[in-house]
Amino acid sequence: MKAYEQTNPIISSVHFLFLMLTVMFTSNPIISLTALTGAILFNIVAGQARVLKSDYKFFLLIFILVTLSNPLFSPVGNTVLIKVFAITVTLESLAYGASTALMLISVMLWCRILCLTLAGDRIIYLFKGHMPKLALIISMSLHYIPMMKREWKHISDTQKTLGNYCLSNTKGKIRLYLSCFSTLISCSLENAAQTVKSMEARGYGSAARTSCSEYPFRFSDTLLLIVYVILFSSVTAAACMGCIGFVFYPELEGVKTAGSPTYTAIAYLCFGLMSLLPFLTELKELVQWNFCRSKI
Amino acid sequence: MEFLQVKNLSFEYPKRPKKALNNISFSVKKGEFVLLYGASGCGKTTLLQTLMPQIAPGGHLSGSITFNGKDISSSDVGDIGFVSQQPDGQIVTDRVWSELAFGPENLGIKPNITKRRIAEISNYFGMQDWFYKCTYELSGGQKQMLNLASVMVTQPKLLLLDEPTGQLDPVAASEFISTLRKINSQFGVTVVLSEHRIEDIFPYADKILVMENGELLFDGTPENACIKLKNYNIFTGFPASAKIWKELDVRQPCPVSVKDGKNFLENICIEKDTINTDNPNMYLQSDDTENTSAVQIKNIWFRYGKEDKDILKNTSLNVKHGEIFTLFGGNACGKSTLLNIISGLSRPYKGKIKILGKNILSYKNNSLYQGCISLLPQNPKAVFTADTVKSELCGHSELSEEIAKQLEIEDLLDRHPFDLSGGELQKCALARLILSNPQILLLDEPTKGMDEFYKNKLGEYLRNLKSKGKTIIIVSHDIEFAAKYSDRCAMLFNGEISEPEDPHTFFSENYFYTTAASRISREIFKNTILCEEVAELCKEILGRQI
Repeated sequence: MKAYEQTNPIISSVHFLFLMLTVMFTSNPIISLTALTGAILFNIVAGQARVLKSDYKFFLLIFILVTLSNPLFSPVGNTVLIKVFAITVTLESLAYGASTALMLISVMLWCRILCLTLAGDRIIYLFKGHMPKLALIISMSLHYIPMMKREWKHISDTQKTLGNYCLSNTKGKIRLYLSCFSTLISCSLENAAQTVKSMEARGYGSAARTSCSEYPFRFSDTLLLIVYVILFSSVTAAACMGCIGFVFYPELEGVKTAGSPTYTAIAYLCFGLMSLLPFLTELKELVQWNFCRSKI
Repeated sequence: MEFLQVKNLSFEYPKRPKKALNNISFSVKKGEFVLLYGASGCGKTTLLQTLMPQIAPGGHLSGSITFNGKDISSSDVGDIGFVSQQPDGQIVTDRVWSELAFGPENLGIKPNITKRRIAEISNYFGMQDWFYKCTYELSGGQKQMLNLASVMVTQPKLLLLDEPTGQLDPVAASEFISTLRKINSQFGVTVVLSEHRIEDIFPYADKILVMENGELLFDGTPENACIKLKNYNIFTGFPASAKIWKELDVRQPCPVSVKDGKNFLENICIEKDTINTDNPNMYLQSDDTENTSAVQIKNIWFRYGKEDKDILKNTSLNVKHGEIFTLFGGNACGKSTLLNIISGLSRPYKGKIKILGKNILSYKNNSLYQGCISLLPQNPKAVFTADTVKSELCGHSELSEEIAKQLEIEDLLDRHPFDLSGGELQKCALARLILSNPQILLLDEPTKGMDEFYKNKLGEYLRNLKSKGKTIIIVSHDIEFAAKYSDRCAMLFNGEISEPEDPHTFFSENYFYTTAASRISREIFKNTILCEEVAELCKEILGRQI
């Protein structure tokens, strides 16, 4: 994941937002599937294939659960498949469930990609310009949480070796953790007091804060932003015109186009491009690198 | 004109009977390297903090402080930098680079200038490799280096450092100090440094300030400090060569560094070839054939995760009943891990551990921690869960009063554990451990941040415990302490423990990892590792020469 990491965090967030808006508001399985394909391809090219492989069971489980649970709540649809007790399972509600599951999984995968690209300091950058205090708070909490985790381990280990608490029953364990917690709070308050001193010593609040951003807005970023905006607005326009509908109820009709089929095709193409762009940039980088290396 | 001038400075904390600073006057010239020395709780931290208006403690202040010709309260932010003892508490943000940017951003410096300064400073401090790292991943030494760098970014004219190496191991500490000296000599930044470990820094200071009970005891050069203070208690913390000089009481200038100490010894012991220089102490080893093992570790292997590197590889160790055993080793070499394994918190994936002759796995529930093993953690605060030291101790047994008396912590019983100084806290935590009457005491860096006086008290107390048949295992970086008080030492490196030896053999065979007294005297005497031993042998020689 080299190329996509180099794009400005604002661009990756805007892209994520556009993608998620489209996926969630169209509830069209073709759109969801496209987004899912884009996410999987990106994960693979970004070297996350192993994580994906180890997680596929979890996603499969979600898919099955969501698909099967939809008929429990919405017994609508004309094609009745089976009747179990008072529950009517229809083909339509099953299909709708599957579509929702696809949407859910693709959203989850894209969230993961966002997490990968907006790790740590990149997320802070998003807020630095307009909300410098919020950015600082996020940054400070990101520093504090792992520190407190380590402190917690240290304290609970120590308290265990003191032998005050009987660890074989739940009551003893709860007592142990309660007293560890109080010590942890005292420790972190101490630490916070130190941090305040250090911040004041380094002039916090003495002048208007500037922010030294680490991520320049490059020409390619501007270009990418324009491309995303164009793609998103054409998809939105098509959606508003009813070109990318999908009919589940009362009978599964599938793809529905209100306007001319050309619009529909363009809309799907635009969305496809939008979900595949990160993958394509990454792939381009990979090919370029391999090409360059073969010359060296 | 003096750069920093303090006149008749007194300071009182609210609701405390004694003055924290009493009528202190001194001055510092531009570019001087000043060492502030004194026992724990003598007012060093208060003095340093009052020198920085942004973090000056609340209370009643009288006297005047002028900085660069003006009153200190009108000095610019960023002109004075402050680094304190705790590496973690000072770090504000989560990334190294954003930490460096924090100061300049606060002062409203333009982004492009900030960026250039960050680039400069990270090159100078050699931080390129960890520039993008998260701050919590750094080692203690790196954290302190980052703290220094992020203060230097605003280009201060005066640096105040409050025991900056107190929590670091000797290697990281000397690296920190040498960076500090470099900054001082290359950029002329005035430095005021308070420190407990002064062996290496002492000869390089332009000026020594010694404090006692809130008063300034001495103000002058290192050599004069040795001459003037040689009959004070505080002298126990002075460099080894000065201590040897004091014992010998000869008419020669006082040597303050190891180099000077070597020359000094050679001048005194001119006839060294004609005399037997074997140290008799070497033959004073206790016979240990009768002793059985208190802790027996056999071929253990340990790693944290399946994919991780092995931290301990086929490690074996025997610690005998009733001895003080010290284990050395670099940072993150697995010393603390070994203590965790002995105390049953971590389990090795291969190998056997016997505690008091019984397999560690056969101790069920809490039986290992009741009267068998106690662990003093690196951060003794983790021991305390109550509001006062007293309630922490008295909740457990009637023995507490007696133990409090032995450890001399009776005055501290009503205080909150978090208000205590490092040494005091260490002693109170030790008192808590001893309450459960363990046969084996595991101490993780017990002398960290302690002054010399406290160290000696602790050492005596450990000896006392030993005489009662307790076994004490110390993991430490403190060479001088181990040389004085431990019975056997070993080194952990690359997952393996070297053959344990008595301190005389161990330290006199080491070249780098040894005491200052040994470094001074190794070419003249064999097996001398303590100042007292060197001084004694010299006296003998001097007696013969007359």
